[in-house]
Amino acid sequence: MFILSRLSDLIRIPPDQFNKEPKKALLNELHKKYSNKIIQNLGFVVSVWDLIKIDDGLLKPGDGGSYIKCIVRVIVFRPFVGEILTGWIDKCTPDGLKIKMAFFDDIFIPKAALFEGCEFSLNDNAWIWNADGAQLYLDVNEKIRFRVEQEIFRNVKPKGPTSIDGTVITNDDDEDNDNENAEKPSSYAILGSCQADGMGLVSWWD
Amino acid sequence: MAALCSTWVEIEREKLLSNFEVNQHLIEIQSKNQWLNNNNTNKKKRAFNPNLEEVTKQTTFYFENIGPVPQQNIENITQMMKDLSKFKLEKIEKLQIINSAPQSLVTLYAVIEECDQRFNEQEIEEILQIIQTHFPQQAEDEEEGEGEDQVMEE
Repeated sequence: MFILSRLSDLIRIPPDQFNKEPKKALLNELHKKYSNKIIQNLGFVVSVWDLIKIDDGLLKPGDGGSYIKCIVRVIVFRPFVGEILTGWIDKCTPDGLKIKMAFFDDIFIPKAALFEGCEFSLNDNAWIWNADGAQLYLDVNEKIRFRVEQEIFRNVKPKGPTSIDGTVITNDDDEDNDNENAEKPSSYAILGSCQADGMGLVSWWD
Repeated sequence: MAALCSTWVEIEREKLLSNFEVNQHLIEIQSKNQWLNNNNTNKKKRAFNPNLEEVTKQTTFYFENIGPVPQQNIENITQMMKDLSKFKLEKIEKLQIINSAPQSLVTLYAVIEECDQRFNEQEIEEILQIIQTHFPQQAEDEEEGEGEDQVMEE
C-alpha cells in the first residue's frame, strides 16, 4: 500500500526560518511542499520519511533565502494493481460505488466491476447483490474490500489568474471550495473491482 | 512556482512499507508537533502545517479503524514473519498478510495468488493459524458500532 520513494529537490529556506536548526527548517519546508499532495505518475505523498543527503545552501542574487539541494525519501500511497484494499463506501450512485479511505478518497468501483447480479436500488440508494437468493446490501459507510484494477493520473491545470490582492478570480468562490473534489477531476484516482470471493463488505466474509 | 519544477524522482519504489511502519512514523510526527493533545495550554507550541496535520490525522484514523495495526508491534510482526518463512510466499504477499491479517479462508485466497495450486489445504490452515495466533481477531463490538452509525444517518 505504501512505498518509499527517493526524490531530489532544491528547496528554498526563507530567511525567517534561519533561526531554526538547518535540518529542521529543511524538513519543515519539505513537509509543506509534499504532505498531502499528489506527484504526477508517482502517487499520493503522505509525509517525508527521512533526509538522505543535504548539500550546502546556495544564495541567489536578489533573494534573501537560501537554496538547499537535498535528497529525501517520502512515504507514498501507491497501491499496486491487484492489491486488496479496505475502505468505507462513501457514495452509491447508479454508475457504481465511491470508496473513501479517510486520507485518500478518489477511489471508484464502476458498476461493470461489481459482482454479477448486482442491482442499484433507487429506493434504498444502495447497491444490492442478489447472491443465491440472498439480498446483500452494499450500503454507505460499510467497510468494503476491493481489488485495485487501474490507476489514473491526470494532468490537472493550474488555477486561473489571481487578482491584485492574491485571491483566485472565480465567479462562485464558496461553491468552488465546497465541491472542489466533485467539480475537478482529481489528478490521481484509483479504479477498483469487487468481483471475486472475499471482496465486498468485510462483514460478509469474516 | 519555479521551485515545484525542481522535484526529481530518483527512485520510484525504493522500498515497501507496511501499514504499521507508516503509522509509527506518523504518530512520531504528530507527537513532535504537539498535535496529539488538544489542550489549549500549550497551543503556542503546535507547529503550523495544516496539510501535514490533516493527512497524519486521517491516516492514523484509518489505521485505527481498519486493519490489524492497533494490535501489532515489532515483536509479533517479526515472530510472524519467522513462522511464515517456511512457506514460499512472495514478499508482496507477506506484506499484504501483515497489512490485512486475513482471518478467513476466502480473504487469504484473495491476498495470495493461485493459493489453491501452490499450497495444500493443510498448509493454508497452518498459515491461517499462524495469523490468528499473532493477530487474534478483534471482538465483534466494532461491527455493532458501525451499524449504529448507519441508523443515525438514515
